[in-house]
Amino acid sequence: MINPAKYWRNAKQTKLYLGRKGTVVVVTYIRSAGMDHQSSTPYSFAVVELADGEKVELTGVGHEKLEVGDKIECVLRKIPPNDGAGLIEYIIKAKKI
Amino acid sequence: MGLEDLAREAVEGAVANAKVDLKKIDAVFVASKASGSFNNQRHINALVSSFFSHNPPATRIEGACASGGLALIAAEQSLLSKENQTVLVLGVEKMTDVDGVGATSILSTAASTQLEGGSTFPGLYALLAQAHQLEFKTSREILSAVSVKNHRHALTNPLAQYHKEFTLKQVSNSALVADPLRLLDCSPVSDGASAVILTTKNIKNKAQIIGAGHGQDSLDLAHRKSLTELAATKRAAKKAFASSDLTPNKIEAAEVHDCFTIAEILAIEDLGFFPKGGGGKATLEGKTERRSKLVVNGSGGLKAFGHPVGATGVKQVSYLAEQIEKGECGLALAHNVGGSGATAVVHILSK
Repeated sequence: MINPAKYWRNAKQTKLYLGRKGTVVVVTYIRSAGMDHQSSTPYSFAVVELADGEKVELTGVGHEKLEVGDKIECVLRKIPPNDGAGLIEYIIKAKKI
Repeated sequence: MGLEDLAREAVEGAVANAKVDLKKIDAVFVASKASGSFNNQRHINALVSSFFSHNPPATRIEGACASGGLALIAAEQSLLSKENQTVLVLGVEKMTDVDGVGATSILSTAASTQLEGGSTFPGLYALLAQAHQLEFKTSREILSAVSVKNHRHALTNPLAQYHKEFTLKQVSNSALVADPLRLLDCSPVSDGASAVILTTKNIKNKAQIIGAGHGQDSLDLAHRKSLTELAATKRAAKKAFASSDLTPNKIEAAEVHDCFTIAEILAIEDLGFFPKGGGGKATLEGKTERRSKLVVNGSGGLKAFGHPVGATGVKQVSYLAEQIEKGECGLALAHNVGGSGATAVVHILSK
Protein backbone atom coordinates (compact mmCIF):
# COMPACT_ATOMS: atom_id res chain seq x y z
CA MET A 1 0.00 0.00 0.00
CA ILE A 2 1.55 3.31 -1.04
CA ASN A 3 0.67 6.89 -0.17
CA PRO A 4 1.49 10.02 -2.21
CA ALA A 5 4.35 11.18 0.05
CA LYS A 6 6.03 7.78 -0.01
CA TYR A 7 5.52 7.51 -3.76
CA TRP A 8 7.13 10.95 -4.24
CA ARG A 9 10.18 9.85 -2.22
CA ASN A 10 10.48 6.53 -4.10
CA ALA A 11 10.02 8.16 -7.52
CA LYS A 12 13.35 9.96 -7.10
CA GLN A 13 15.04 6.55 -7.28
CA THR A 14 13.30 5.57 -10.50
CA LYS A 15 15.48 7.63 -12.84
CA LEU A 16 18.60 6.02 -11.35
CA TYR A 17 17.57 2.66 -12.83
CA LEU A 18 15.48 3.44 -15.90
CA GLY A 19 17.11 2.07 -19.06
CA ARG A 20 19.94 0.23 -17.29
CA LYS A 21 20.70 -3.26 -18.53
CA GLY A 22 21.69 -6.38 -16.64
CA THR A 23 21.67 -10.17 -16.37
CA VAL A 24 19.40 -12.43 -14.32
CA VAL A 25 21.40 -14.15 -11.54
CA VAL A 26 18.56 -16.16 -9.95
CA VAL A 27 14.85 -16.00 -10.60
CA THR A 28 11.56 -17.45 -9.38
CA TYR A 29 8.06 -17.36 -10.78
CA ILE A 30 5.69 -16.20 -8.04
CA ARG A 31 2.26 -17.80 -8.34
CA SER A 32 0.75 -16.61 -5.06
CA ALA A 33 1.40 -13.15 -3.64
CA GLY A 34 0.20 -10.63 -1.07
CA MET A 35 -2.60 -8.14 -1.57
CA ASP A 36 -0.55 -5.55 -3.49
CA HIS A 37 0.58 -8.03 -6.15
CA GLN A 38 -1.95 -10.89 -6.15
CA SER A 39 -3.75 -9.54 -9.23
CA SER A 40 -0.43 -9.58 -11.15
CA THR A 41 0.37 -13.27 -10.54
CA PRO A 42 2.10 -15.20 -11.93
CA TYR A 43 5.18 -13.00 -12.33
CA SER A 44 8.94 -13.35 -12.30
CA PHE A 45 11.01 -12.07 -9.38
CA ALA A 46 14.75 -11.98 -9.83
CA VAL A 47 18.10 -10.91 -8.47
CA VAL A 48 19.64 -9.02 -11.38
CA GLU A 49 23.26 -7.96 -11.81
CA LEU A 50 23.40 -4.64 -13.62
CA ALA A 51 26.23 -3.83 -16.04
CA ASP A 52 28.26 -1.98 -13.39
CA GLY A 53 28.03 -4.93 -10.98
CA GLU A 54 25.28 -3.54 -8.74
CA LYS A 55 22.74 -6.19 -7.75
CA VAL A 56 19.05 -5.40 -7.41
CA GLU A 57 15.83 -7.36 -6.94
CA LEU A 58 13.16 -6.75 -9.56
CA THR A 59 9.86 -8.18 -10.68
CA GLY A 60 9.49 -9.09 -14.35
CA VAL A 61 7.02 -7.33 -16.64
CA GLY A 62 3.56 -8.87 -17.00
CA HIS A 63 3.64 -12.67 -16.82
CA GLU A 64 6.99 -12.92 -18.65
CA LYS A 65 8.95 -15.93 -17.38
CA LEU A 66 12.57 -14.89 -16.96
CA GLU A 67 15.40 -17.43 -16.78
CA VAL A 68 18.89 -17.43 -15.31
CA GLY A 69 21.29 -15.67 -17.70
CA ASP A 70 18.58 -13.66 -19.49
CA LYS A 71 19.60 -10.13 -20.48
CA ILE A 72 17.13 -7.56 -19.21
CA GLU A 73 16.47 -3.83 -19.35
CA CYS A 74 14.98 -1.78 -16.48
CA VAL A 75 11.68 -0.34 -17.69
CA LEU A 76 8.88 1.66 -16.10
CA ARG A 77 5.60 -0.15 -15.54
CA LYS A 78 2.30 0.78 -13.93
CA ILE A 79 1.07 -1.46 -11.12
CA PRO A 80 -2.64 -1.87 -10.47
CA PRO A 81 -3.99 0.64 -7.92
CA ASN A 82 -5.30 -1.05 -4.80
CA ASP A 83 -6.03 1.81 -2.44
CA GLY A 84 -8.94 4.16 -2.06
CA ALA A 85 -6.81 7.14 -3.11
CA GLY A 86 -6.62 5.74 -6.66
CA LEU A 87 -2.92 6.55 -6.84
CA ILE A 88 -1.38 5.09 -9.99
CA GLU A 89 2.05 3.78 -9.09
CA TYR A 90 4.89 3.23 -11.56
CA ILE A 91 7.83 1.03 -10.60
CA ILE A 92 10.97 -0.31 -12.25
CA LYS A 93 10.58 -3.81 -13.65
CA ALA A 94 12.86 -6.15 -15.61
CA LYS A 95 12.03 -6.74 -19.28
CA LYS A 96 13.83 -9.40 -21.30
CA ILE A 97 15.82 -8.01 -24.28
CA MET B 1 -8.57 -19.52 20.63
CA GLY B 2 -7.65 -15.88 20.35
CA LEU B 3 -4.26 -14.22 20.79
CA GLU B 4 -4.76 -13.69 24.52
CA ASP B 5 -6.04 -17.26 25.09
CA LEU B 6 -2.98 -18.70 23.38
CA ALA B 7 -0.64 -16.49 25.42
CA ARG B 8 -2.38 -17.30 28.68
CA GLU B 9 -2.34 -21.07 28.09
CA ALA B 10 1.40 -21.05 27.38
CA VAL B 11 2.21 -18.89 30.42
CA GLU B 12 0.09 -21.00 32.76
CA GLY B 13 1.61 -24.20 31.35
CA ALA B 14 5.18 -23.00 31.84
CA VAL B 15 4.52 -21.79 35.38
CA ALA B 16 2.87 -25.10 36.34
CA ASN B 17 5.62 -27.17 34.73
CA ALA B 18 8.41 -25.16 36.36
CA LYS B 19 6.64 -25.10 39.74
CA VAL B 20 7.59 -21.46 40.18
CA ASP B 21 5.68 -19.02 42.33
CA LEU B 22 4.21 -16.47 39.91
CA LYS B 23 5.45 -13.62 42.11
CA LYS B 24 9.04 -14.83 41.62
CA ILE B 25 8.91 -13.82 37.94
CA ASP B 26 11.06 -10.66 37.87
CA ALA B 27 10.38 -9.74 34.25
CA VAL B 28 8.62 -10.92 31.12
CA PHE B 29 9.88 -10.90 27.52
CA VAL B 30 7.23 -11.28 24.84
CA ALA B 31 8.02 -12.24 21.24
CA SER B 32 5.49 -11.54 18.52
CA LYS B 33 6.17 -10.76 14.92
CA ALA B 34 2.98 -8.98 13.99
CA SER B 35 0.11 -9.12 16.49
CA GLY B 36 -0.60 -5.51 15.53
CA SER B 37 -1.28 -6.58 11.95
CA PHE B 38 -2.70 -10.08 12.44
CA ASN B 39 -4.95 -9.23 15.40
CA ASN B 40 -4.99 -5.43 15.60
CA GLN B 41 -3.46 -5.75 19.05
CA ARG B 42 -0.25 -3.90 19.86
CA HIS B 43 1.24 -3.21 23.29
CA ILE B 44 1.21 -6.92 24.10
CA ASN B 45 3.97 -6.60 26.68
CA ALA B 46 1.38 -4.90 28.90
CA LEU B 47 -1.26 -7.45 27.95
CA VAL B 48 0.96 -10.31 29.13
CA SER B 49 2.18 -8.49 32.25
CA SER B 50 -1.44 -8.13 33.29
CA PHE B 51 -1.67 -11.96 33.59
CA PHE B 52 0.37 -11.55 36.79
CA SER B 53 -1.04 -9.88 39.89
CA HIS B 54 2.30 -8.12 40.55
CA ASN B 55 2.53 -6.76 36.95
CA PRO B 56 6.21 -7.54 36.31
CA PRO B 57 8.11 -5.32 33.85
CA ALA B 58 7.45 -6.70 30.36
CA THR B 59 9.05 -5.96 27.01
CA ARG B 60 7.94 -6.96 23.53
CA ILE B 61 10.66 -7.99 21.08
CA GLU B 62 10.25 -8.14 17.29
CA GLY B 63 12.75 -9.53 14.81
CA ALA B 64 10.47 -11.18 12.25
CA CYS B 65 10.44 -14.99 12.62
CA ALA B 66 13.49 -14.72 14.92
CA SER B 67 11.46 -12.75 17.48
CA GLY B 68 11.40 -15.77 19.81
CA GLY B 69 15.15 -16.32 19.67
CA LEU B 70 15.80 -12.61 20.19
CA ALA B 71 13.45 -12.48 23.20
CA LEU B 72 15.44 -15.35 24.73
CA ILE B 73 18.69 -13.47 24.08
CA ALA B 74 17.28 -10.31 25.74
CA ALA B 75 16.05 -12.37 28.70
CA GLU B 76 19.43 -14.07 29.09
CA GLN B 77 21.22 -10.73 29.02
CA SER B 78 18.97 -9.47 31.81
CA LEU B 79 19.89 -12.55 33.86
CA LEU B 80 23.61 -12.32 33.13
CA SER B 81 23.62 -8.64 34.11
CA LYS B 82 22.00 -9.72 37.41
CA GLU B 83 19.13 -7.31 36.81
CA ASN B 84 16.82 -10.32 37.18
CA GLN B 85 17.00 -13.81 38.69
CA THR B 86 13.95 -15.45 37.12
CA VAL B 87 12.20 -14.36 33.94
CA LEU B 88 9.49 -15.68 31.66
CA VAL B 89 9.84 -15.64 27.88
CA LEU B 90 6.69 -15.98 25.83
CA GLY B 91 6.36 -16.27 22.07
CA VAL B 92 2.90 -15.95 20.57
CA GLU B 93 1.34 -15.55 17.14
CA LYS B 94 -2.28 -15.87 16.08
CA MET B 95 -2.06 -15.87 12.28
CA THR B 96 -5.46 -17.17 11.17
CA ASP B 97 -7.39 -14.04 12.06
CA VAL B 98 -6.58 -12.97 8.46
CA ASP B 99 -6.91 -14.93 5.19
CA GLY B 100 -4.00 -16.45 3.25
CA VAL B 101 -3.40 -13.43 1.01
CA GLY B 102 -3.54 -11.16 4.08
CA ALA B 103 -1.05 -13.37 5.92
CA THR B 104 1.30 -13.32 2.89
CA SER B 105 1.13 -9.50 2.86
CA ILE B 106 1.85 -9.19 6.58
CA LEU B 107 4.72 -11.68 6.47
CA SER B 108 6.27 -9.98 3.42
CA THR B 109 6.84 -6.79 5.42
CA ALA B 110 9.75 -8.63 7.06
CA ALA B 111 11.61 -8.31 3.74
CA SER B 112 12.95 -4.91 2.65
CA THR B 113 9.85 -3.06 1.51
CA GLN B 114 12.12 -0.55 -0.25
CA LEU B 115 14.42 -2.98 -2.08
CA GLU B 116 12.35 -6.15 -2.43
CA GLY B 117 8.93 -4.90 -3.55
CA GLY B 118 6.82 -7.66 -5.08
CA SER B 119 8.66 -10.37 -3.17
CA THR B 120 7.06 -13.01 -1.00
CA PHE B 121 8.84 -15.27 1.49
CA PRO B 122 8.33 -18.37 -0.66
CA GLY B 123 9.74 -16.26 -3.51
CA LEU B 124 12.86 -15.18 -1.60
CA TYR B 125 13.60 -18.72 -0.41
CA ALA B 126 12.94 -19.94 -3.96
CA LEU B 127 15.83 -17.71 -5.07
CA LEU B 128 18.04 -19.25 -2.36
CA ALA B 129 16.90 -22.72 -3.48
CA GLN B 130 17.77 -21.99 -7.08
CA ALA B 131 21.21 -20.62 -6.14
CA HIS B 132 21.86 -23.83 -4.17
CA GLN B 133 20.61 -25.96 -7.06
CA LEU B 134 22.86 -24.16 -9.55
CA GLU B 135 25.98 -24.54 -7.40
CA PHE B 136 25.44 -27.96 -5.82
CA LYS B 137 22.91 -29.69 -8.11
CA THR B 138 20.43 -29.82 -5.20
CA SER B 139 17.66 -31.99 -6.57
CA ARG B 140 13.90 -31.94 -6.25
CA GLU B 141 14.22 -35.23 -4.35
CA ILE B 142 16.44 -33.61 -1.70
CA LEU B 143 13.94 -30.82 -1.02
CA SER B 144 11.07 -33.31 -0.86
CA ALA B 145 13.04 -35.57 1.50
CA VAL B 146 13.21 -32.76 4.09
CA SER B 147 9.43 -32.38 4.05
CA VAL B 148 8.78 -36.13 4.18
CA LYS B 149 11.16 -36.57 7.14
CA ASN B 150 9.74 -33.68 9.15
CA HIS B 151 6.16 -34.79 8.64
CA ARG B 152 7.17 -38.30 9.75
CA HIS B 153 8.90 -36.89 12.85
CA ALA B 154 5.80 -34.91 13.79
CA LEU B 155 3.74 -38.09 14.11
CA THR B 156 5.21 -38.63 17.59
CA ASN B 157 4.82 -35.00 18.70
CA PRO B 158 1.37 -34.59 20.27
CA LEU B 159 1.62 -30.79 19.98
CA ALA B 160 2.35 -30.81 16.23
CA GLN B 161 -0.01 -29.00 13.88
CA TYR B 162 0.05 -31.87 11.37
CA HIS B 163 0.00 -35.59 12.02
CA LYS B 164 0.04 -36.62 8.41
CA GLU B 165 2.69 -38.43 6.39
CA PHE B 166 3.53 -37.53 2.79
CA THR B 167 5.47 -39.42 0.14
CA LEU B 168 8.30 -37.96 -1.92
CA LYS B 169 5.98 -38.06 -4.92
CA GLN B 170 3.23 -36.14 -3.14
CA VAL B 171 5.65 -33.37 -2.12
CA SER B 172 7.23 -33.25 -5.58
CA ASN B 173 3.83 -33.02 -7.27
CA SER B 174 2.25 -30.48 -4.91
CA ALA B 175 1.27 -27.11 -6.39
CA LEU B 176 4.02 -24.67 -7.32
CA VAL B 177 4.03 -21.59 -5.07
CA ALA B 178 7.24 -19.91 -6.24
CA ASP B 179 9.35 -22.07 -8.57
CA PRO B 180 11.09 -24.32 -7.60
CA LEU B 181 9.29 -24.32 -4.22
CA ARG B 182 5.98 -26.13 -3.93
CA LEU B 183 3.23 -26.07 -1.37
CA LEU B 184 4.67 -28.98 0.63
CA ASP B 185 8.08 -27.27 0.75
CA CYS B 186 6.51 -24.45 2.78
CA SER B 187 5.82 -24.26 6.51
CA PRO B 188 2.18 -23.53 7.27
CA VAL B 189 0.27 -20.56 8.64
CA SER B 190 -0.08 -21.41 12.35
CA ASP B 191 -1.58 -20.25 15.60
CA GLY B 192 0.52 -20.98 18.64
CA ALA B 193 2.29 -19.88 21.75
CA SER B 194 5.19 -21.18 23.81
CA ALA B 195 6.64 -20.04 27.11
CA VAL B 196 9.79 -20.90 29.03
CA ILE B 197 11.04 -19.78 32.42
CA LEU B 198 14.74 -18.97 32.70
CA THR B 199 16.49 -18.63 36.03
CA THR B 200 20.01 -18.24 37.37
CA LYS B 201 19.01 -20.35 40.38
CA ASN B 202 20.23 -23.93 40.44
CA ILE B 203 17.23 -26.16 39.67
CA LYS B 204 17.58 -29.96 39.60
CA ASN B 205 16.49 -32.04 36.59
CA LYS B 206 15.95 -29.08 34.29
CA ALA B 207 17.80 -28.34 31.05
CA GLN B 208 20.37 -25.56 30.94
CA ILE B 209 21.20 -23.05 28.24
CA ILE B 210 24.98 -23.30 27.92
CA GLY B 211 25.57 -21.22 24.79
CA ALA B 212 23.91 -18.56 22.70
CA GLY B 213 24.75 -16.52 19.62
CA HIS B 214 23.05 -13.88 17.51
CA GLY B 215 24.08 -12.94 13.97
CA GLN B 216 22.92 -10.48 11.32
CA ASP B 217 23.29 -9.99 7.56
CA SER B 218 21.84 -7.54 5.03
CA LEU B 219 18.04 -7.38 5.04
CA ASP B 220 17.75 -7.77 1.26
CA LEU B 221 19.15 -10.70 -0.71
CA ALA B 222 20.82 -8.60 -3.41
CA HIS B 223 23.39 -7.21 -0.97
CA ARG B 224 24.45 -10.61 0.39
CA LYS B 225 27.94 -11.87 -0.41
CA SER B 226 26.59 -15.34 -1.13
CA LEU B 227 23.15 -16.80 -1.86
CA THR B 228 24.20 -20.36 -1.01
CA GLU B 229 24.66 -19.71 2.69
CA LEU B 230 23.10 -17.64 5.47
CA ALA B 231 26.01 -15.69 6.95
CA ALA B 232 23.86 -14.68 9.94
CA THR B 233 23.48 -18.37 10.86
CA LYS B 234 27.24 -18.92 10.62
CA ARG B 235 27.90 -15.87 12.84
CA ALA B 236 25.32 -16.92 15.44
CA ALA B 237 26.59 -20.53 15.45
CA LYS B 238 30.21 -19.42 15.84
CA LYS B 239 29.32 -17.42 18.97
CA ALA B 240 27.08 -20.15 20.39
CA PHE B 241 29.70 -22.88 19.96
CA ALA B 242 32.45 -20.62 21.35
CA SER B 243 30.40 -19.69 24.42
CA SER B 244 29.57 -23.32 25.15
CA ASP B 245 33.05 -24.60 24.27
CA LEU B 246 31.51 -27.23 22.00
CA THR B 247 31.81 -28.26 18.36
CA PRO B 248 28.94 -29.19 15.99
CA ASN B 249 29.78 -32.92 16.07
CA LYS B 250 28.78 -33.08 19.77
CA ILE B 251 25.15 -32.06 19.11
CA GLU B 252 22.65 -34.93 19.25
CA ALA B 253 19.41 -33.09 18.45
CA ALA B 254 18.86 -29.89 16.49
CA GLU B 255 15.73 -27.90 15.89
CA VAL B 256 16.55 -25.84 12.79
CA HIS B 257 14.53 -23.13 11.06
CA ASP B 258 12.95 -25.07 8.16
CA CYS B 259 10.46 -22.40 7.11
CA PHE B 260 11.05 -23.87 3.64
CA THR B 261 12.73 -27.17 2.81
CA ILE B 262 15.80 -25.41 1.34
CA ALA B 263 16.19 -23.57 4.65
CA GLU B 264 16.89 -26.86 6.46
CA ILE B 265 19.57 -27.77 3.92
CA LEU B 266 21.18 -24.33 4.33
CA ALA B 267 20.91 -24.60 8.13
CA ILE B 268 22.56 -28.00 8.56
CA GLU B 269 25.44 -26.81 6.37
CA ASP B 270 25.83 -23.33 7.89
CA LEU B 271 25.64 -24.70 11.45
CA GLY B 272 28.62 -26.92 10.61
CA PHE B 273 26.87 -30.31 10.81
CA PHE B 274 27.70 -31.09 7.17
CA PRO B 275 30.05 -29.48 4.63
CA LYS B 276 28.65 -26.82 2.28
CA GLY B 277 26.88 -28.64 -0.52
CA GLY B 278 26.71 -31.85 1.51
CA GLY B 279 23.48 -31.22 3.41
CA GLY B 280 21.26 -32.59 0.67
CA LYS B 281 23.21 -35.85 0.33
CA ALA B 282 23.21 -36.31 4.12
CA THR B 283 19.45 -35.81 4.19
CA LEU B 284 18.89 -38.37 1.42
CA GLU B 285 21.12 -40.84 3.28
CA GLY B 286 18.94 -40.51 6.40
CA LYS B 287 21.66 -38.85 8.48
CA THR B 288 19.18 -36.36 9.95
CA GLU B 289 16.46 -38.89 10.75
CA ARG B 290 15.35 -39.91 14.23
CA ARG B 291 17.68 -42.59 15.66
CA SER B 292 20.66 -41.23 13.71
CA LYS B 293 23.65 -39.63 15.46
CA LEU B 294 22.13 -36.20 14.86
CA VAL B 295 18.34 -35.84 14.80
CA VAL B 296 17.26 -32.74 12.87
CA ASN B 297 13.80 -31.39 13.61
CA GLY B 298 12.66 -34.35 15.67
CA SER B 299 9.62 -32.27 16.61
CA GLY B 300 8.52 -32.08 12.98
CA GLY B 301 10.17 -28.67 12.60
CA LEU B 302 8.42 -25.58 11.35
CA LYS B 303 7.10 -27.68 8.46
CA ALA B 304 4.93 -30.03 10.52
CA PHE B 305 5.09 -28.90 14.16
CA GLY B 306 3.99 -25.52 12.82
CA HIS B 307 5.35 -21.99 12.46
CA PRO B 308 3.48 -19.43 14.58
CA VAL B 309 6.14 -16.97 13.50
CA GLY B 310 6.93 -14.99 16.67
CA ALA B 311 6.59 -18.08 18.86
CA THR B 312 8.85 -20.41 16.90
CA GLY B 313 12.19 -19.55 18.54
CA VAL B 314 10.75 -20.10 22.03
CA LYS B 315 8.97 -23.28 20.93
CA GLN B 316 12.24 -24.80 19.65
CA VAL B 317 14.00 -24.24 23.00
CA SER B 318 10.99 -25.43 24.97
CA TYR B 319 10.79 -28.64 22.90
CA LEU B 320 14.50 -29.38 23.26
CA ALA B 321 14.47 -28.70 27.02
CA GLU B 322 11.67 -31.24 27.32
CA GLN B 323 13.65 -33.81 25.29
CA ILE B 324 16.68 -33.32 27.52
CA GLU B 325 14.57 -33.65 30.67
CA LYS B 326 13.09 -36.90 29.30
CA GLY B 327 16.62 -38.22 28.68
CA GLU B 328 16.16 -38.32 24.90
CA CYS B 329 19.37 -36.36 24.30
CA GLY B 330 22.20 -34.70 26.20
CA LEU B 331 23.26 -31.82 23.97
CA ALA B 332 20.87 -29.97 21.70
CA LEU B 333 20.84 -26.92 19.44
CA ALA B 334 18.06 -24.52 18.44
CA HIS B 335 18.38 -22.37 15.30
CA ASN B 336 15.91 -19.56 14.67
CA VAL B 337 15.97 -17.31 11.59
CA GLY B 338 14.29 -14.01 10.78
CA GLY B 339 13.26 -13.03 7.26
CA SER B 340 15.27 -14.53 4.43
CA GLY B 341 18.24 -14.87 6.77
CA ALA B 342 19.02 -11.33 7.93
CA THR B 343 18.72 -12.37 11.59
CA ALA B 344 19.71 -15.67 13.18
CA VAL B 345 19.83 -16.89 16.75
CA VAL B 346 21.43 -20.12 17.95
CA HIS B 347 21.05 -21.67 21.40
CA ILE B 348 22.82 -24.70 22.83
CA LEU B 349 21.20 -26.66 25.63
CA SER B 350 22.50 -29.42 27.91
CA LYS B 351 21.42 -31.58 30.86
